[in-house]
Amino acid sequence: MFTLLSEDGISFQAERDVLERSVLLKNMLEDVQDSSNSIPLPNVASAVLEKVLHFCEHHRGDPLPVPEEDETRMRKIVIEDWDYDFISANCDIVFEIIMAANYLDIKDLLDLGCKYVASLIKGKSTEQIRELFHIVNDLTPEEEEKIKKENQWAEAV
Amino acid sequence: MTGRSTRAPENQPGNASDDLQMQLNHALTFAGSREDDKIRDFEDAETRHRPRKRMKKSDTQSGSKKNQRMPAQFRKVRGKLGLLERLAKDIPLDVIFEIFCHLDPGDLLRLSRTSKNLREILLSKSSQSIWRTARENVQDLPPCPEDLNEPQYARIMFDYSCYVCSRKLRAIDGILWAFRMRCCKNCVPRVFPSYFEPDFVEAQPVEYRKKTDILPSEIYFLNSNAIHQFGSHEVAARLKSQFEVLQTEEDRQAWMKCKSEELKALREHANLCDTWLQARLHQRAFELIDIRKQRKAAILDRLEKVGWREEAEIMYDQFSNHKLVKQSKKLTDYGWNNIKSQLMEMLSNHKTERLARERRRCILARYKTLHKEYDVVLRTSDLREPFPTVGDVLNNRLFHDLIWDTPYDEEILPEFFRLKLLEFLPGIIDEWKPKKIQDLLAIMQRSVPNAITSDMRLASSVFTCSTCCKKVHFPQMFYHRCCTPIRQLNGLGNEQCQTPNSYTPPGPWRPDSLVFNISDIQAMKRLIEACNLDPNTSTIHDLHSADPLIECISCAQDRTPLFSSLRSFIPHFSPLRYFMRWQSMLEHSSCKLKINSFGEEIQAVLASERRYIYYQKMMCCVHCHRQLAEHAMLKHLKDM
Repeated sequence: MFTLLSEDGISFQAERDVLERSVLLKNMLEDVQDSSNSIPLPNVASAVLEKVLHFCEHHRGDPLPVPEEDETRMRKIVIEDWDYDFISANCDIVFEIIMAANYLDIKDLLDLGCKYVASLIKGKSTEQIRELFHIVNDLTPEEEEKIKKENQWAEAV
Repeated sequence: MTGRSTRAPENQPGNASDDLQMQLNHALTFAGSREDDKIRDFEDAETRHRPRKRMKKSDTQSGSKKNQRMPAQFRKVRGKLGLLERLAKDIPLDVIFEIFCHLDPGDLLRLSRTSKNLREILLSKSSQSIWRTARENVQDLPPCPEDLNEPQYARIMFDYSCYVCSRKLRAIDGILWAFRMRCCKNCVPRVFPSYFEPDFVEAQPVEYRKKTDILPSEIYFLNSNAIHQFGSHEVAARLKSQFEVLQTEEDRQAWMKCKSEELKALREHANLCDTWLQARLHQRAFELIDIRKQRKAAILDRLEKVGWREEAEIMYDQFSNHKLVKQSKKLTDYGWNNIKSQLMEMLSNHKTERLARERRRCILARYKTLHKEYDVVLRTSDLREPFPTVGDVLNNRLFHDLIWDTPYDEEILPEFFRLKLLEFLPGIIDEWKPKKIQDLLAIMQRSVPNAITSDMRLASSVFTCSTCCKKVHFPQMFYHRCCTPIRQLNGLGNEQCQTPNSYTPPGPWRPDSLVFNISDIQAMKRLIEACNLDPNTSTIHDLHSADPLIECISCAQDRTPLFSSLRSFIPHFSPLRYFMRWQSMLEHSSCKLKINSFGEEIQAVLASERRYIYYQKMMCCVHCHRQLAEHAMLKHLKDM
């Protein structure tokens, strides 16, 4: 068992195969032989770290995702049921989870977060997106009208 | 945490990423500060040609504010998720790229319209790769044509609204490919000239004004009967300006050939886009159906765990079309918890109503079967004496219990009811008849306190139905319709009355509507005496035998023109006179009557009586059950 220390000083214990879902931690564990020393994670709050470990625990033993060779592939949002329930239950801290996944380099969690945020945006009207993310509309009515008509006459870029 | 990703570099979008990061920082930290040419170039022509002065003003204001930003802990994060702040400040660029690359161009377009900052980010040239990836995410979407940039192409393909009035359109409606816009049928005739309008045609250079392969047009269905072909002043003016600068005939020919090819390519691309939009509509429809099916299946699975699946399956379409089920939304644990109690309550109510309906259907079917069997028995019974109605039989405890207490999934056969009727009907009659005669006597005694049971068989004992005003003698009242009102089925509600053609079991015989009037009795006594009969002993049969003829003197004098009761209109008497049989006499009880004293006139009166009418009531002999028309029945009764 290894101990992780969150930015607010809370300790979490996890087994090696759970922690190795994170490329960052996997590299660190190769250097740290003594499991009695806790690993500080100064960028991850305890509430977020708990969720991250929950995700890693669920996916322990799954094959690690490989980097994509074709960046131009067609991207479809397909989310497994457990993952969807996990991320939607934590939608309040989805950005923190994304950032933690990015920092810890947990690709499947990062993908999940990005897909979830994209799925929230997908198919929504401008006004629905504003409402969903509480974006303040800083466009004046004239500017909005102008934006709508901006391409009224198409010109080459 | 920095704004740069710690992830492996192979996932980063390269130079575009660096440009975008720079753009992002500019957009948010020094929003609108556009000195750097790199950050502005993806705008359309109109935006690009905005006055420089106006741009600077905006830059200065925005820049001064952003330069004096408050420390992070005091800044208010916008919104629950703080997308603006987080996307722009905290989230690394490649993560933003990851998110945006799961969207389609329509999503990007709508996102770019949410705020100035997101517009800055998404409409910069460095975001081209995001738009391109988003476009390539869309299966089979034709490539972006050369004369449009990505946002412009996204707009025409994914923003289903009129470019002029913003009215919503269907995905495949109102697209004017040659003019690169969508336009509703209200705006088209206002904005575009008819392609054949003389002013429009004559304004074009003579060299190509009639060449439809150079000057673009669009065919538009304004309504089902009107097809119009429109041109565009703007397009025409642009072509004209290009054409007029050409000096030589050779250049002009080359230009026309080029424009012809461009228009051909545009049409081909437009066809591809139309096909794609149609396919997308169909695909979307199928997707929605599939999502709904999956949601319904998931709900049914969860209902099975709480014991309500069977009821939901019984509901079938009603369940599938329920607002909580028929949603194009995947079912999550959270979603299930939100709808669970509401669905279970709905299913519970449905089950209660369904069971009540099934119970009602079963009970009514049994009543109906018993009624049919009762009718069979009735047809072979002597009805000259009071006979219990079907309502009385249904009311009998034995039959009531048979109908109500037999389990609803057990069928009671007609033969079973018939056997029970044959077995128990005599006993029911013995119990029922004295009670009902006693009820009738009580009604008589309200007017004649010393009346006895045998009095009700006298010809003078006439009852009036207060509901229909019909006069009835003993035992007519036991077969009178108003005395068997509709049965109230306690516990089944009144739904049986709401379905057209549904069976309504009658209630038991009740004399509540009958009244016994002294004036009627006295009138009858006068009539009986006029027939030389004793009112204290004469029965209704005696009166039928006497069959007196009556003339109403009052009605003959008062009414002009004269009319009569059904059986006694005698029109050829002059002046008109009013004759009747004794059955109609009580309707004239306050009139001056003349009874059986017509001397030699009697034959003439009887001869002129209208015996046949266009339709005749069918009557049934209660003794032998023969069914005959009215006049035949009279003869039948006399023969008996």
